[in-house]
Amino acid sequence: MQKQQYDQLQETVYSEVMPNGLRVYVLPKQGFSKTFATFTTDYGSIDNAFVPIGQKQSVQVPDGIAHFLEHKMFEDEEGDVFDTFGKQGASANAFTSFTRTAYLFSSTDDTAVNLHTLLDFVQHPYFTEESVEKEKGIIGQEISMYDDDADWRLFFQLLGNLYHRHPARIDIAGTAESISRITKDDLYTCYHTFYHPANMILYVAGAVEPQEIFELVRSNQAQKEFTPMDHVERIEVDEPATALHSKAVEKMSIRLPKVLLGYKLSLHSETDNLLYQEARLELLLETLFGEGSEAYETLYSEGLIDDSFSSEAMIERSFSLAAFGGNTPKPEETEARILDIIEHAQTDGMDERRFERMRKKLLGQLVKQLNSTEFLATEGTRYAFHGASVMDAVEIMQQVTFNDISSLLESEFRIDNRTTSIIDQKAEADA
Amino acid sequence: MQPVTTNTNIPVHLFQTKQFKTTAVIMQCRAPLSEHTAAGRALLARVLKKGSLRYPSQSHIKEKLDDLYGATFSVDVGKRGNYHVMSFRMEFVNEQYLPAQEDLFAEATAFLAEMVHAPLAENRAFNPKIVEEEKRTLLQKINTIYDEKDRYANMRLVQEMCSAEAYSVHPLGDAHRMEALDEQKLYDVYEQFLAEDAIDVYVVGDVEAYDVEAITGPFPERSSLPPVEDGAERPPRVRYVEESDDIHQGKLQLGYRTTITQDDPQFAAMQVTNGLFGGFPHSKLFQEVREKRSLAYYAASRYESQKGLVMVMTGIEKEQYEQVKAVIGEQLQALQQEPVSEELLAQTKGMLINQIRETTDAPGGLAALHFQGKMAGRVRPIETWIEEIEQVSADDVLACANSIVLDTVFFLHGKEDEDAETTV
Repeated sequence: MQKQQYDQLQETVYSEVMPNGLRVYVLPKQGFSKTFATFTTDYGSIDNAFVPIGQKQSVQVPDGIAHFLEHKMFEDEEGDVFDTFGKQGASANAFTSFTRTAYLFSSTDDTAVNLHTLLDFVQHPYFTEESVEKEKGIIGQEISMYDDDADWRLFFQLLGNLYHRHPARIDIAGTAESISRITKDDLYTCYHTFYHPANMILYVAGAVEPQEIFELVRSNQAQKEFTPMDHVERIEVDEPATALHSKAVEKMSIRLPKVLLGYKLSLHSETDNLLYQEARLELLLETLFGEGSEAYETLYSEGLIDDSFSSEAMIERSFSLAAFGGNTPKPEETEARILDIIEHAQTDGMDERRFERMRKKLLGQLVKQLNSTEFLATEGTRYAFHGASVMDAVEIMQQVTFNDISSLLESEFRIDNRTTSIIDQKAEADA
Repeated sequence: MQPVTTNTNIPVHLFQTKQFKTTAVIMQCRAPLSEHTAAGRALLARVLKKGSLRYPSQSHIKEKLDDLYGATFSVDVGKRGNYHVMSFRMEFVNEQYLPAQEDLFAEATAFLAEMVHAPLAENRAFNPKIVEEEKRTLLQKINTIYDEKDRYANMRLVQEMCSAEAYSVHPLGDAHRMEALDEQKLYDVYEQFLAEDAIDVYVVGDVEAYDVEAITGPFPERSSLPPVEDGAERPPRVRYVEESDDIHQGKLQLGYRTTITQDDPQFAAMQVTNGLFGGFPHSKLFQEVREKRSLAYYAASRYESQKGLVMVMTGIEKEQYEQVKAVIGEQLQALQQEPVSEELLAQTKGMLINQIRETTDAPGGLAALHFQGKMAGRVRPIETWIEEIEQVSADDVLACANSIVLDTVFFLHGKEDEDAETTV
């Protein structure tokens, strides 16, 4: 067991790698009623082409399969795992992102029992043709729900504009067509490759004793056998640095249009210092477009944006982007104004005093997030997959210089890697 | 955990705890919910948030908050049963976790006091520019409820179901009354808020001595709020309302009434009943609509305990409307006719208790639980509440389920083919 202490934050993170490769992190939080545990695989919607474990040929699997798999993990011979957690007083959940699939529970009692359940159900696949077919109806409705969600469409239209081939352009849940092709054998192939302990992290935050947790995980894992595995071989696509389309407009039944501008970046979480790049990008976006910035306040007072306006930085395995936008009565005009602001900042420079204030603000935000066991476990896992610690973020945020964000603005915010996504109202929308 | 309460003109509740790295100061201000005042109060909340004499613009405000290490400050309005609640919230990092020597508590409370008591106004009128901007934003917000189809369907359900009751009023008010407001009329709303709202201040965090006099002191003496007329009536028959829109998935919402509200001795039993009906993944709705029949991705119920409503929501194929409606009806019937198994009962209680305990892990959660009880006229210490849940029996659930009556069904669905549309 390793122990890492963070004096300023008054937190200690304990960790250990199990003989089968599973990485385990424990963060005790004094005074909390709740324990939050996540069991996460380094596998998400973009991992659709890979060499299956024990094989030599690569395969291409249907879009949306990681998410489908997440749904199906909750069922075993005895029924529904939600139920088991429920009987043990815990609430369980799961999510699939571009690069991760996480299973989690929170409980205020019986952490040990629930932790066994979490490890056991995720490490025990059970799929039948029948249950796979049944799930298609449920996920079909989930996809249908997102089809009506204008913000979701806005974001995925942006990704479709940015990427030529990279699977980030594919909706996480897939389409009705792609999920109809998923078979139980596909699920097993993905499962055995990506749910290997060496590709997973268990993170426990909350009212726990680290020694007890490690003891429990050791004995739990010792009872299971896995084929040894080096690393997963994913098939990378050759993605140009430029955006595929500079603009796309979709019409939906809404009353207020939405605009989102995005840049395809060259930062990659596996090769760059993730914490530093994230801090740099977030500081840049806050300085340029955060509330209180000249840009935000001017556009707001002109009625071009409202408080839905926000920016997002995303640095993932094999892709990264920056995006900003929100609701607007005039999407084209807002787009033009935002581009002006960026160009202006590139030629005349940014406000260094504002940059320093944004640093303070983001520092405070980080410390505030340490109140949340959810944040600690999910973000802790994300950083741990990159060999970084969420606790170092505070330190690194203090190291970013004004020059760092200026150079980022210079090099990554160009014309050829930019796109605009607009959701407009349908003409016949009955107001 | 129970707060230490100072009962003065403005009660102050302190939750002293080392659990959090932040301190929260929350001021809850409530007035009876009414169509005549909702728009004005919604606008007041936004205008107070946007400027004061000392911080006359958003840039000034943000600059101050950023200097307080990203302190957050928000003012918003919400609906809690028949009350319209304006909430002022500040949360800031406890300075012991920062390379800072400032007294952030004193700074933050002074800031909040300034925003409430020294607004950007002169000659009994707010700043006209801010009023216009915020009116525009709010009108947009009212207009765009339509863009989120679940929210829209729920708003329409409540409008149809509670048309004669205060509860039908949206917390942002209506566009018509919003349009009619100006900087003078808004100042009248402000003065009424200062003089009449029932106000509670909460402090949550690792603070020993605290002084919030700057916030509470300037409020004039007030009398207690008059009781709110509810006006709820059971309908003679179920009302069915349908609307069409250019969407893929139909949004089905069912509104039920129950006489059991938060101050009722059966409140805990009703919570358990709702949990069994559609509150959790093991509930009847989730199991029967989603898991067994694959008819939906979500199917859940929510208990509005201040008002005595149970609302069911699900997203389905248009063609399956009749089937889903029937399945939902059967689930309630089952709860009304057969005693629930001990196993399901225990599971539901466990989940509910877990939920309540989890709420106490966030600074806002501690304050929210207390405030809910206060509004309902019955503050339960958390341990008492949990005990009440533990004592709920299968018979209690049967009785509660039988108090639930269907009132209104609202269905928002996709349009027919172009030709058929003319008949809609």
